[in-house]
Amino acid sequence: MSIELKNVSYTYMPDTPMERQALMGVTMTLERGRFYAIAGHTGSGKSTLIQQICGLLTPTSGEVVVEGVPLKAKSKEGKKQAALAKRKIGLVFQYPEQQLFEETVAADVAFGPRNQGLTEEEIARRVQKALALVDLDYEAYGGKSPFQLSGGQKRRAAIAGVLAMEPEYLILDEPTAGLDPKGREAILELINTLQKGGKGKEPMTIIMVSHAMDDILRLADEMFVMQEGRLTASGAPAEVFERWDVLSEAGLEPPKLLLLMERLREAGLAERGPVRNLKEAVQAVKRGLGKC
Amino acid sequence: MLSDITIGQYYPGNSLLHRLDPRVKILLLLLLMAEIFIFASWTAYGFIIALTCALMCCSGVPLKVLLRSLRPLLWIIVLTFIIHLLGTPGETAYQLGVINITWEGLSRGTFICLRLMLLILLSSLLTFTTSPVKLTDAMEALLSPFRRFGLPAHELAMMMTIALRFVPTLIEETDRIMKAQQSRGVDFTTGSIFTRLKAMVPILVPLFLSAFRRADELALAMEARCYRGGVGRTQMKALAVTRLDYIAVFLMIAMAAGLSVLAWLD
Ligand SMILES: Nc1ncnc2c1ncn2[C@@H]1O[C@H](COP(=O)(O)OP(=O)(O)OP(=O)(O)O)[C@@H](O)[C@H]1O
Ligand SMILES: [Mg+2]
Repeated sequence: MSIELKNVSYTYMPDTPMERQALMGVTMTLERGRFYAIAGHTGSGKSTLIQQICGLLTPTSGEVVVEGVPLKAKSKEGKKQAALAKRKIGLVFQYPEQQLFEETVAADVAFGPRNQGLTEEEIARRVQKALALVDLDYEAYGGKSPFQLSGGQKRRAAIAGVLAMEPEYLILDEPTAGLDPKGREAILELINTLQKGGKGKEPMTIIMVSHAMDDILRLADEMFVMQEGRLTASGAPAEVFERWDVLSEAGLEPPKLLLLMERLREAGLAERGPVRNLKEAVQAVKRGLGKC
Repeated sequence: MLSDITIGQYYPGNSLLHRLDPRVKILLLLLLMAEIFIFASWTAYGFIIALTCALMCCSGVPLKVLLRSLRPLLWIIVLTFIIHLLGTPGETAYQLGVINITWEGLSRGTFICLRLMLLILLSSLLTFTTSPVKLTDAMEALLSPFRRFGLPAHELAMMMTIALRFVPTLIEETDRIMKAQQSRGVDFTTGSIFTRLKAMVPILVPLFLSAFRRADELALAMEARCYRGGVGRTQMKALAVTRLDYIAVFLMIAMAAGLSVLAWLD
C-alpha cells in the first residue's frame, strides 16, 4: 500500500510568457506508515510536488497512483475511485491558520467531516478527538472564535481541521514556519506521535516539507531533496546528509548537529557512527571521551 | 485555474512601442480612437488598419498573444455582426425564410466589427507595451492639470498602482485558500447556484480577512516611511519625452491631417 509518483512533470501557466516548469520527471514511492521529509531551496517545487500527491494539481505528464488508483481518470467510475483515494490524503498548507473561517473553533474543525457527509454524532466525536490530538481543550476552546486564539493555537486548530477527516496520509507544508521554539516543538511532537501510532491507532504516513535540517535528521525515516524541479537525492537522512556536494548544489546546509559532531570528531572528542539527535550525540561524545 | 487570469497584461520587451513615452502613447491612442470614429470610410479604415498592422508588427508581442485579447469580446463582436447583418434594410443578398441578409447589412456589419476590433487591438497594444506602473504614472501626469478643479490626481494614481500591485497577490491567495478548502472537501463545481454560493463562504471570509490585514500593514509601512501624499513628491524614474516621441507625434498628426483632407475631398 503506497502512493506512487511516476515521472511527474508540471508546468505552471503553459503557453504564456510566465510559463514555468516547476517539476521535471519526479518519480518516488511513499510507503504506508513512514515519515518522509522533503527539503529544498525556496522555489525548488516542494509545494507543487505535494499538491500533485494529493491531487489538487494534475500532472502535465506522468501519473500519480494512490494505493493502486490512478488520480488522473477519465471514466466516471475511475473518477469516483480517484475521489475516494484522495480522501485518504490530508493536506496542511503553509500557514494553515489563514484558512480558518467559521465562527467557532469546533465548527471549523467540523467543516471537513461535514463535507464528507458524516452523521452529526460522528462529526461531534471526530471534532473532540481531533482537538484532543492537537492538545486544545474542547471545553475551553471549542466555543471560542478561531480569531481569538494565539498564532500557535490557530495553527493547531487548523491542523485539527485536517485530522478530523481522519486521513491515512498526512502532508504538511512547513508546519513550523513562523512559530516560536515552544510552538515548533509542540507541533513536531504532535506529528511524531501521529506517525508512531500506538494506543490502538494505526501509524499515520507523514510527508513533511521542512527547511529545518535538524528536524528532518531527527524525525524522518526517509528524505527527498528537490532542486529546480528535480529530485536530486533520496534515502535515509543520515545518508543523504553525508553527501555534501548534492546538498550544497541544492542550496542546503547539513544539520547543525552533524556539523558540530564533525568538529568534535576531528578533535577526537567523539566516536564515529550515525547520530540522529541530541541524545545520541551526547552518548557518542561520552563514548569518545571514555576512550581517551 | 485562477492563475490563468492575466490582468495588467504587460508583455515585457524593448520595442519601439515599449520605448515610447506612456503619456504620448495614451494621447496618440485617444487621437487614433477619435479618428476611427470620425473618419468612417473604407479608404480611411484601409490606412488605419495598415497602421495597426504595422504597430502590431513592431510591438514585439507575438501575434497569438495579441489576438488573444480579442477573445473576451468575441461574442460581442459576433453578436454585433449578426444584428447588423440582419437588421439593415437594402438590397437582398440571400434569403432564407424570414431571414433576409442584405448587401448593406454585410458591409455595415463588417465595418462595425472592424471598428470594434481596431479599438480593442489598439488599446491592448498600449497595455501590452506599457508596464502598469508607467501607465499610472502617465495617468497622473495627464490628469494633474485638473488638480486645480479638485481632482485628486495623485491619490487616484496611487490607488490604481496599489490595486494593480495587489491583484496578482489576491489571485494567488484566492487560489491557495480555494485549494486548502478543496482539500477539506468543498466542491465548487457541482450543485445548484445556491449551494455553490454557499461554498464561497469558506473562501471569502479568509480572503477578506487577509486583504484587510494586508491593507492595514501596507498603510502602516507607508506611514513609517513618511508617505504624505503627492505634494512635492519626485519619481525615481521620471517620464521623459525623447526624439522618438516627437517623431511618433509628427507622423500621427500628419496621418490625421491626411485623413481629414481625404474626408474633405470626398
Ligand atoms: N501558481 C503559480 N503560478 C505560476 N508559477 C508558480 C505558481 N506557484 C509556484 N510557481 C513557480 O513554481 C516554482 C516552484 O514553486 P513552489 O511553490 O513549488 O516552490 P517551493 O519549493 O514550495 O518554495 P518555498 O520553499 O518558497 O515554499 C517557483 O519557481 C514558482 O515561481
Ligand atoms: Mg512552498
